[in-house]
Amino acid sequence: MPMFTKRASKIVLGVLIAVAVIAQLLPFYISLTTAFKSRTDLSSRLVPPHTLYLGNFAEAINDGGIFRAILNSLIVTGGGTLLVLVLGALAAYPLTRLRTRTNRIVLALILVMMMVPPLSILVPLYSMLVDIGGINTYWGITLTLVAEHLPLAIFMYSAFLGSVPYSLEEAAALDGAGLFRRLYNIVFPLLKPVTASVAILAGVPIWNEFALSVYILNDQSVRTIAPTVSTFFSQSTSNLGAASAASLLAFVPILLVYLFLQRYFMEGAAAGAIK
Amino acid sequence: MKKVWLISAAAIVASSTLALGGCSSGGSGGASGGSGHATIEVETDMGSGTPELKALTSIAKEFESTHKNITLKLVPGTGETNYEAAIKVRLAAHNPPDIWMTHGWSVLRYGQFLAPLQDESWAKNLNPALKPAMVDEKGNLFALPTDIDVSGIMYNADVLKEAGIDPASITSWSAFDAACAKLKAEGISPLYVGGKSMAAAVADRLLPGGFSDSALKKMKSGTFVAKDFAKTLKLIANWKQAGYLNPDYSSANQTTMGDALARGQAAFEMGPTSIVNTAHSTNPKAQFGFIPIPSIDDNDTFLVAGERTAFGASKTGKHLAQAKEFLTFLAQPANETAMSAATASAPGLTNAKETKGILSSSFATYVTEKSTPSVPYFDRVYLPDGAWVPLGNAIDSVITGQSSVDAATQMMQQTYESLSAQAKANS
Amino acid sequence: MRSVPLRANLLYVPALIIFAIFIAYPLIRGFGISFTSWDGFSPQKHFIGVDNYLRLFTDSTFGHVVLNTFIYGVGSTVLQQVFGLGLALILRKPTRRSGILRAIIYLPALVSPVIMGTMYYLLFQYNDGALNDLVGLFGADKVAWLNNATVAIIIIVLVNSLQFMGISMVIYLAGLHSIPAMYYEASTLDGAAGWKQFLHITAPLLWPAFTASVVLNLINGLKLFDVITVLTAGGPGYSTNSVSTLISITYFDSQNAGYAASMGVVLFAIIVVFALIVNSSFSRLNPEAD
Repeated sequence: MPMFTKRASKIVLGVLIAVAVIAQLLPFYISLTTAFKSRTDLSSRLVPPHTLYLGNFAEAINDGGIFRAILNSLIVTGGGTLLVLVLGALAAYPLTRLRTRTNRIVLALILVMMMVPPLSILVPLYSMLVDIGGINTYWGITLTLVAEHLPLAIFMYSAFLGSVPYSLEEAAALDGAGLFRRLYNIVFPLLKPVTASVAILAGVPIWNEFALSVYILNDQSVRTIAPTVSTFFSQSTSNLGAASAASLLAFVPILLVYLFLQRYFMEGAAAGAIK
Repeated sequence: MKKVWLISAAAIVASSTLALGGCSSGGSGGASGGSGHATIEVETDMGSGTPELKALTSIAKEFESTHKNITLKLVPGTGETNYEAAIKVRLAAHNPPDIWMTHGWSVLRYGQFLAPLQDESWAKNLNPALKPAMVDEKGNLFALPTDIDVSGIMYNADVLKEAGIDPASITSWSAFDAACAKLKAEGISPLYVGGKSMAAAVADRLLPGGFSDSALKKMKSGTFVAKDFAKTLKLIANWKQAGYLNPDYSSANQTTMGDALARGQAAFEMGPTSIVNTAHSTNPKAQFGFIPIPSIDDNDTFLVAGERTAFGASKTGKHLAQAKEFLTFLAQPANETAMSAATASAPGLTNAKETKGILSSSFATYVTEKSTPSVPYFDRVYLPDGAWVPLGNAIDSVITGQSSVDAATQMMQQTYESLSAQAKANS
Repeated sequence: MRSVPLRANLLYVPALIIFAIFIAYPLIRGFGISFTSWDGFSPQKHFIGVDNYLRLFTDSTFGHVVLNTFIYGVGSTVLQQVFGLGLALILRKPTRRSGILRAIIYLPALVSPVIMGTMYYLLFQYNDGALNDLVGLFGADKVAWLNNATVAIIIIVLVNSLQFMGISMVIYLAGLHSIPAMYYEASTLDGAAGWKQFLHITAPLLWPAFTASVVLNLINGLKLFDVITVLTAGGPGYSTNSVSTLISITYFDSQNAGYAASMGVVLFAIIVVFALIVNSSFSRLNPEAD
């Protein structure tokens, strides 16, 4: 009898996993069939294409300039993620190690920054960027998105640092090491395990950002992926094939980075939860 | 672990140096002038790879080759509904593009930001059908139209033929209803509306048929005529009740309208003629046409004509002279012809040639031969600015059964009155 | 006793400067807009005091949309915890197969919500939608999935939850891995198993992960925007709007930026109050605490 229930539950679990896997892969499957079919191919989106039609990819590359957009996204995401990691780690240190009343309030306010709806700041932010010359620049969009995703990094780093005993640092302090020495030699190395997680959780939204970058990056030479894909949708018509092809091409780099970081992602997040 | 740390650090450093390099070279953007060189930014709502953007791009290249001191930067539109928001954000920040597409709003919405163009050499050739919508009371013209949107009720000719319906015989709403009943029996959506963005466009085409001349005068001078407005809503409510509208009304948009017409899932549609372009690109074999719109009370029929692809120049632009120069180049008959051919519609200037397009035969019948009268978009002339969305919502609430015809009319009246007051306060 | 010097506080100053310039300052300017009848683009701005806020209280559409926002926020948070925790428990063993499965579950979280929403639109569309093609295979009539407000709201919650359940799963996996194996060994010796073990060992030790995941999902769910815009654009009527999509419609389409700005302020207040209440009550409920 227990043998039977064990088997039954195994089957149920297997089915659940299968459903989840199908649900997660279905959108990718649809984008593949859409990308490899021509516009005049009226067959169902569930049916694989007869022949691999490559016209949509040509449009994504030539008309949409998707490679330039991928490069722009690499620049913005690379620079933005680096800043988020560095500024986040720096800020988390005093906020965790000096739990004064002021610092508790500062940490709470930083969390509140996460809750600001992008639309509430769009127009004033855009006007300010115009005034300081930040429109259509890498630094303008990068700093904006850093501001948006830095709270999460501070949140994660300080939660993690809070779980690391102070004693490790104490030894160094007794040895007379200065603050920066301690940060560099002890604290930052300690943060390594959680860094892959912070990089993914803050970096992926920067890579995909649309709501603000569609306004701030108007010039095709600096435009990132999501706003570029959206140029295949206009008021009068949508080119779903080219949009799918562009999205797939733009998915490749982030997928590679994810697969590379995945192991450390799990490991790091695990280290982060030790209390 | 250590290795990963090093690799990612290296990657990040590499990309951030790239970023810095990008800042110095690609930076600043916009209209950085100096030493006689001007960069003119032209913002459009045209999608990447569309025939109209391709036509504009090749005209721009030609212009640049003869005007070495001017660089044109064409910006494609982003998203179904994003274009207007993009322009509004830029206007709010006093950072408008040098030239932008006014898509029907050159006077009402963008007039105060645009340079008057009535004294340009091409202005005398403006298509007379565009005058009511594009020239304001003081005689100002704020944009160069490269085409004109003449539309009635569009149809898939193959679908009608199969159902044994002669489109030319539909000259009244009762004839239209009879055709719809026939089509519905065949399992086709007789009238297909994309509720996501096109509800107001349908109203724009029906409303002129419900108002008497005296009522129109009242609407223009600030008095809402509820009785006549309700006629259009009643017409739509009846279609809904009879099951003539598509079941996916509220999630359908302009693209799905084109697809449904192309695949013969829908017979009739109302909206900009660019829908037929979409339909044609999806199914090049299908035949399309349009018929004039019947009036609600009498036996007249009419077409709706208005501004669609039109380009205005910012009056505060640093390089206004060069922007006007490009508009003049764009207005040359050959370029005007190429642009209107790309949107498969009639040119906006009278000295350009009409290209044979998908709707040519209907155009020949109703515009050239029978010279059916054409009226402007209703909302541009008779409703205050900002009424487009509430108008769509009124239609929406009737179709989805959220409010009665009377309630929706009342809602519209309130909007009309508050927007009129707002417009008065602003001027 | 601790030897961290006070000047270490300087380390968070750069972050604060960035927040001040790129979030706080625009937020305050936006707050200012909410006291005007501005149309969102003209140079004229008229101060009208708190009229916009008074109007919000009598606007039945806004009330309805606030309710939707809570459904989106709470609904996706609940689903993401159920899916995320369930998957984490099933895939907790670090085998090669579960590694691949975890990656697949996570994939959609790497895609822009606008693009993911578009793919789901192609799935749920009436004509030519993939799901209706399937329905057609069984000889049934096509279903207008997105045209019934209730169904559309469920679909939106589901799409959002499926896309981001991978993140919750990873947070829970991390929490699970941090539970020392000896706890389980001890309880197995005591004869506890399955459900009981989960309740007495796993759940309490997962509490920090749970709190983090809930607060993050809640904030994002209450801000939900892209998926709604792509799937229904808020329709039929106003019935599937969230506050964020209504702000966009009011700001840009209805040209009532002042009113839209007041909605933004209220949405921000809702998120702050709600998230802080959840955060503090969860910390208080923490079974691990003292």
